[in-house]
Amino acid sequence: MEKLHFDLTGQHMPAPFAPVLVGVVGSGNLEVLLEPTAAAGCTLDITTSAHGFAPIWQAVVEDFQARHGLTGVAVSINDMGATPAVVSLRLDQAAAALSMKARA
Amino acid sequence: MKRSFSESTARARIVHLLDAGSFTEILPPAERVVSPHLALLGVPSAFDDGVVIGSGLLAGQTVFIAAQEGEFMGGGVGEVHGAKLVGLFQRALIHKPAAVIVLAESGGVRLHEANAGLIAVSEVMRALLAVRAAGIPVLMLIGGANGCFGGMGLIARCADRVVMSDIGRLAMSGPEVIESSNGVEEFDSRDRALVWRTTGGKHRYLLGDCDVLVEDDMAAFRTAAVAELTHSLPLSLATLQAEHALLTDRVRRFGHCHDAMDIWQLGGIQQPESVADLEADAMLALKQHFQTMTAASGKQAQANALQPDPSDPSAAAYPTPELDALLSTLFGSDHHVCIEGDLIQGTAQVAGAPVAVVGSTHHAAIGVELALAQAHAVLETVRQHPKRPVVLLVDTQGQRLRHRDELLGINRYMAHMGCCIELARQLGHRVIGLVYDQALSGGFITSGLMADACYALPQAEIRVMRLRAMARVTKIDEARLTELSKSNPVFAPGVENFVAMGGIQALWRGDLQACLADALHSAPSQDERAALGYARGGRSLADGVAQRVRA
Repeated sequence: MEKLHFDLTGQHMPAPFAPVLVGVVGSGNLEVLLEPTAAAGCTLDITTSAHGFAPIWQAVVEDFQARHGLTGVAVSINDMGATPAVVSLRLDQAAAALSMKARA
Repeated sequence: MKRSFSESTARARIVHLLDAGSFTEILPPAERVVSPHLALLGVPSAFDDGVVIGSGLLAGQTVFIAAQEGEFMGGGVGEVHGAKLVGLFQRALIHKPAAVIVLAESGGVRLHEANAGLIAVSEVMRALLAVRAAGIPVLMLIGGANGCFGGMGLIARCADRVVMSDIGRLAMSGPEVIESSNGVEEFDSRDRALVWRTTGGKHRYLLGDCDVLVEDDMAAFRTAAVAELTHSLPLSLATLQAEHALLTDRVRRFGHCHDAMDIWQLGGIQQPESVADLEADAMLALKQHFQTMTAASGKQAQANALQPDPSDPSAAAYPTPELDALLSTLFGSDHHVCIEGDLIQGTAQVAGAPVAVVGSTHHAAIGVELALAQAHAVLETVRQHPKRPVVLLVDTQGQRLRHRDELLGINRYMAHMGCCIELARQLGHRVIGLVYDQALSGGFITSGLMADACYALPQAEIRVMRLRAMARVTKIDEARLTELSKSNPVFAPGVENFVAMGGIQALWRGDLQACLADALHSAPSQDERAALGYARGGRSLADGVAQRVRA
């Protein structure tokens, strides 16, 4: 098991939202929890069952942030060996739930 | 469009079962009420510990609801997971919802925190049955790919009503466990057709272990749940006697069968091989036919319904000197406690007052016959001797790991024993458990942990699984498990660990007669084990989590 932390900058501040959870901590899967924070930027706290994939996680979360550019959002992840594609999918699902909430 | 129950997550199941937008979660993910034990073993936790709980509306009525996430640790019940369920039932006693609905999907006790999980299962059973006693119906909905096994199989059969899909499975021991213990010829776990016709929704429906069979469709589950909201049937001597007669009759009629299809054929189903392909609607007609046929042939069996089965292969009577000595030490030399095969039963005097004694010996594997015989002894005590205390003497290697017992629905037989103990308690009997030798895995739940309080002798052995086997299943190095077990009581075998977690009230040393007399006098009749586990430092979270849920 490994714990990773990333701080990324962003410019898109979502409307106030209740925490969002997508995915489940199952084999090859992960859960993503989005919560509002007062701080600027987007933090990501990741707990993953696998070791030694920090560079890949960095690439995946930077891609995510390049797509969404979130600020004022804390992302927490529990991962059970999901592939980068699944991680990106879950992150996008979470972000999509966020913008829907922002519109509502 | 049909929305599959089995392919939905626990959260999605709740959303689509309840009235739109009505669900309010208790201890939602952002609260991070997670298992501390998993991280210790190098396994990521889940923000809800694999169970979503809360309240909402079902057809306009307020219900409490819980859904287990089968993808996370197989839906296994750990300390926090179990405490959330316990807390939800306790909350129901305060707020009186129209029903409590559990969407069960679980392999049973979570091995990574096995001791906490084992105790938690018995706590959930007690809390659930207290809710039923208050006239609030409890519904189990089973339709996940991981099935409902082990401790959750027991809990499910404590509910008022069970709804299943064909995909859903309900049983005690998983086919893999039975195969690895007794060989592939006992139960071929890779034979999917065999697995499903032994444990699947259709067989359970025909036998009556599930009340409603539905398609794997959220809307169908919702319709069934709405229809079942009014079905409250608190435990009573009459209902448990009826249950006992039904289960006794089942063993007599089907106990010799080797395959579910034999049972179906005996029940008058002409083409048992066609059952696998039938839709839920067609099963309804088949069930009515099955019931009519079995009722017609069941009169004779019912006449002898309350006798233990003499054909039980384990029924060779031989008391051991150790047990004889223990009985004399506990009850003096003039007790009337007999040993018949693996069964202990009889009466004795404690401090001048009679007690009923029920138990097992020879490290008994608890199969359907033994569970029935023990339940019979408890029921007869309730019937003939109001408020007479019951002493449970525990020596079991766990539930019997046989295909045949699963075919008969052993989880229902064991749950029946648990319900009989609960009825005794509700009617004012003190129930004291004593682990005098072995207490292993699921067999311990209904034969001991359902007592008001369970005690143990210092040399007793209590465990869910040996560390070596746990290492194999969890893929965590045995040396590491051994090292961790020195400071953490949550998963390792050992009677002291169960004391630390509150599952064992105390160890008896010295004057055992005095210990027993004192226990009968002072054991709590409310379930205080979580608080005890907290005070002793063995279960730091369960009590607080349950409190937060019911607050």
